[in-house]
Amino acid sequence: MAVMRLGYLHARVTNLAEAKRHYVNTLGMQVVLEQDNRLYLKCWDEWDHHSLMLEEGGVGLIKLGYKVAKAEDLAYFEQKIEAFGVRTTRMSAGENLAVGEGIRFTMPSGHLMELYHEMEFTNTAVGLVNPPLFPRHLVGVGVPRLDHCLLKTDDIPLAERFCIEALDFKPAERLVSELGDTGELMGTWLFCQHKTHDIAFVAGEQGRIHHWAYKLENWDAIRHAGAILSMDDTSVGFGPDIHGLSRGDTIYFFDPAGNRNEVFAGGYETYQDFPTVTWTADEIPRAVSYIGREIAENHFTVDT
Amino acid sequence: MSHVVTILPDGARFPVRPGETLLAAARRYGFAYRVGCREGGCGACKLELVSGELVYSKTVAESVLSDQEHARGICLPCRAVPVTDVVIRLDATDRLRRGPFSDRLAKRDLNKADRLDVPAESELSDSNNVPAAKLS
Ligand code: FES
Ligand SMILES: [Fe+2]
Repeated sequence: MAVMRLGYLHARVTNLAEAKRHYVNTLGMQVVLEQDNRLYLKCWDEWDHHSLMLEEGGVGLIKLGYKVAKAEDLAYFEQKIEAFGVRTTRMSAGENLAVGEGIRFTMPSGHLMELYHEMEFTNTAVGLVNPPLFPRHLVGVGVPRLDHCLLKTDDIPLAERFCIEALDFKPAERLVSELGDTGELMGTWLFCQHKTHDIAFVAGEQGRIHHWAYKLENWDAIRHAGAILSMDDTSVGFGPDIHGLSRGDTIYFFDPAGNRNEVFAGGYETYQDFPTVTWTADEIPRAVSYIGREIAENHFTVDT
Repeated sequence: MSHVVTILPDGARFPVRPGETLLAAARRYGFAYRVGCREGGCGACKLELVSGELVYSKTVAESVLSDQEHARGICLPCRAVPVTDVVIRLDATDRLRRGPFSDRLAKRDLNKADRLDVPAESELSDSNNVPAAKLS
């Protein structure tokens, strides 16, 4: 059994009012609660209390929360994580707003992660009985759900091994310098249930984040997102384009504090027996930017 | 009167609008160099401030531009707003790129602002490798 999904992400922003403009007016997330210097947000098709918490002061990732399916999974993963040699602490219900008890640890990649199995259910914006296809008055891009994140680490093999051995993830796609034993692992994209990927790592400084992504319906939605991003003068880093690696349609852009977001569509479903796909470094242009085959020089170096 | 930005070692000059960041002004004329998020988060745009004064109207995270860097004359052009004429210098490993009309538009606006004056020799400490032709 693996963890279930990325449930919440906490990040820092330099200015909460500007962040609100971006995440609410441009991306269309809904404000769940504004409290002191914190903003809790969710997407319209998410049923739990929130998926994003923004805190004023600084920039970058605070922590990630991955949800597990059952209460007993917490003890199961606690044991596996400890067996891997990573210390865990118990977190009690309410330590995170609306989140039940769980475990907390720092992954070998330097990122703080929490596993939990309960968050207050507050329903999607369309409800569960005869729901319309989407809310009638979506704002901006109208992002439906938080999907995945790409993290930086100076030891990709270790980060990958931890996700596989302690959290039961499986690698969907990997980027290597070359095929064969001498090949160095330069990036790994892992799934836990059926998504294209739920977490990923590329080479870089420990503890930093490259982006977090929202899943959109299709290429048309990416086009619409691109139009909104331009209208709102959002700083776009790269795209629209197609990732060869993951077959995802994409645009990368930055929030007003410089955290990178992605809108992602397409991709494919994975299964327990999904055979890992390998990309070699000489094909990075197609892996990242299938159409343009050109990667901005700062695409992999810029992070928060 | 609008303030003028000079980018060394190229010598490109252009005016900034009141309240406009250095990077926004450069981009408006199609000048480009190595930057990242353009939102003050990554530090990729950092440059040496050779002369002049800048203010930061938006919060800059200490982790992006530290007080020590600031004191050493390092600036963050995607957040920095010139309040005097300023001279900045690109990193030696980088190069200023131009849009199709960059110099023409910049010259036009400098002319309108009556600022087509060539900067004083003292302002451009390495002006020897700035051919005058670059300014026209
Ligand atoms: S470009 Fe990221 S801080 Fe200026
Ligand atoms: Fe992504």
